[in-house]
Amino acid sequence: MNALNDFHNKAMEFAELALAERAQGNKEESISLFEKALECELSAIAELDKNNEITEPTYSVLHRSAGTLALDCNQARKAEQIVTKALSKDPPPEIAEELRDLLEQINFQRHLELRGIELEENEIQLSLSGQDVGYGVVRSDEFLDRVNDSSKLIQRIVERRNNKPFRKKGRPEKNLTEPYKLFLSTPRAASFSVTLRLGRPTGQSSLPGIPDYKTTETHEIIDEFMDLVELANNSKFSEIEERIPDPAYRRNFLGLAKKIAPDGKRIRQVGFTTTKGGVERFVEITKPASKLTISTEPENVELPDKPVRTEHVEVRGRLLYADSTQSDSDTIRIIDEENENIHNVKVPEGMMDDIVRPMWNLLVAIKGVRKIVGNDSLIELQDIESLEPETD
Amino acid sequence: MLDLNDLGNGFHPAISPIFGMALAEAGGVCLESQGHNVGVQLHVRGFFKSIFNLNWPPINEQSRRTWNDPEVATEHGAMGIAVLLAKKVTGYAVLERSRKGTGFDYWVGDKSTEPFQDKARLEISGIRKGTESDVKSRVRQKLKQTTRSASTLPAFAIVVEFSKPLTEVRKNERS
Repeated sequence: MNALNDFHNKAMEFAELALAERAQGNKEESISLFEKALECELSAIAELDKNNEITEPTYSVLHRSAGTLALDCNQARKAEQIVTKALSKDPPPEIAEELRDLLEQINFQRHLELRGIELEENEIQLSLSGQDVGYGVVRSDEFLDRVNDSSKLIQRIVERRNNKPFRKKGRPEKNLTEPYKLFLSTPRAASFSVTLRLGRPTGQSSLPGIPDYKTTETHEIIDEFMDLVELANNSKFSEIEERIPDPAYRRNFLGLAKKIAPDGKRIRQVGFTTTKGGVERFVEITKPASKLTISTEPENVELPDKPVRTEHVEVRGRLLYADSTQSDSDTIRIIDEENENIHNVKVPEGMMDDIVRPMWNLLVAIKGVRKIVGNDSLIELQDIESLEPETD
Repeated sequence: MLDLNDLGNGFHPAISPIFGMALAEAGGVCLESQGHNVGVQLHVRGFFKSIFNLNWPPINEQSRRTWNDPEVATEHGAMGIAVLLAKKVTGYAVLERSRKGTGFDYWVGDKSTEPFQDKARLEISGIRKGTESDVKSRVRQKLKQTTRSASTLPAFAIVVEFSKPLTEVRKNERS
């Protein structure tokens, strides 16, 4: 039994080191350490298998651990074998539930792999899994909203790379974003997968009077999309700031990433797959939207020369009011339906069109900084999410 | 005194000194992010009531950048405090852990021949800044996870809130 303990402890030591490497962004070192951890955990299981009786919870916990380690080093098939072996026995109910959750994760990783689908370098596969996803079917709004938000994210990358100031309203300039327009393939029955194809710029000159823009290779746009989504999922805010120095573009990106992220129940996983030089790349958003913060820095609001009190607030209510015909079209109102209080909220640049406007008339929760001057107060918006209940 | 530096002394059977110091650093980052200085009082309530003065290793810009992800830092910081508290509160040391999801699954108890045998699960959760009701509801949620059936495994839940700072310790009924 000492050998079992020794192998298991060694496995956990390798796993600790692997997690530390992962936190530092050293993927290859991290995977190699997870492989060593898996090898040790499988040796511990082999020791346990020498007894002909199954001791619980030791048996199922060791298998859950080995299954997680296999997934950590991208060995989905191995993980599947380990987890199903434990589930075929009689694990304690709570560990059985965790093994099933792990199996769901394993299946999702398998669906992120292309399995015979050949992606071009100008294509991204979007995969979804969760309660609202069946075999080849998905609740339409969950799918369409994410395609739409991915498309907006790509448009913003194109505009930013061409040094355009952040577009507060209206459609993107046709000459600039049209070449990268998004096309959809037929959905595939996996978890639920679809290919998003970006157009390729032709490099032709525009008509007289229409500006020519620098042609960015489509795969550069896709690489940036994948890099940014990965950074958002890992909350690497300082690296996102280095990549997107303009606060309006940065807020917009974080807001869109939050909208694409899973809610943790109806949609549990969202993944993107690309191919470059024959090598597949997967990026998963595993963090639920509620844990992704837009984390905007409050802007300085001009207020009368009077003492200003500030406080962090969280407000829930219906987003009913935003008048784009007024000059202060960056101000919205939240009506608290319980006490009918009205909260004036200033929306910082980058969030109105793509993030806030789609939530009009919905119940929302916002976080922000309230500035109080005399009897007047204004909340500077930092984060917003929809609280709209499920419709079914 | 609850000294997070003790996590690096190698006396915890399931925590290596390197990982222990990483947990201690995460705890320090979380506490300092809430404006606390070394010596701040940690109130413990629930299964065990007490007040401890907290100590942690020096935190610098590099530490803050290492623990830049607030969720990961909070989770690891809470782990560090919970591992130290578990010994004081339950009388058991964290003896075993296994890989689970994004972190580890911890088990407390006496030494036995096989891992996880005759031990209680330790459910740990961290909240960077929350209200009293956030802490209560997180404790309920953690205990609910451990009471899914009549044959449930014994478990302790420890929730650490960093802004007060406050820790609530509960034990599931069937343990």
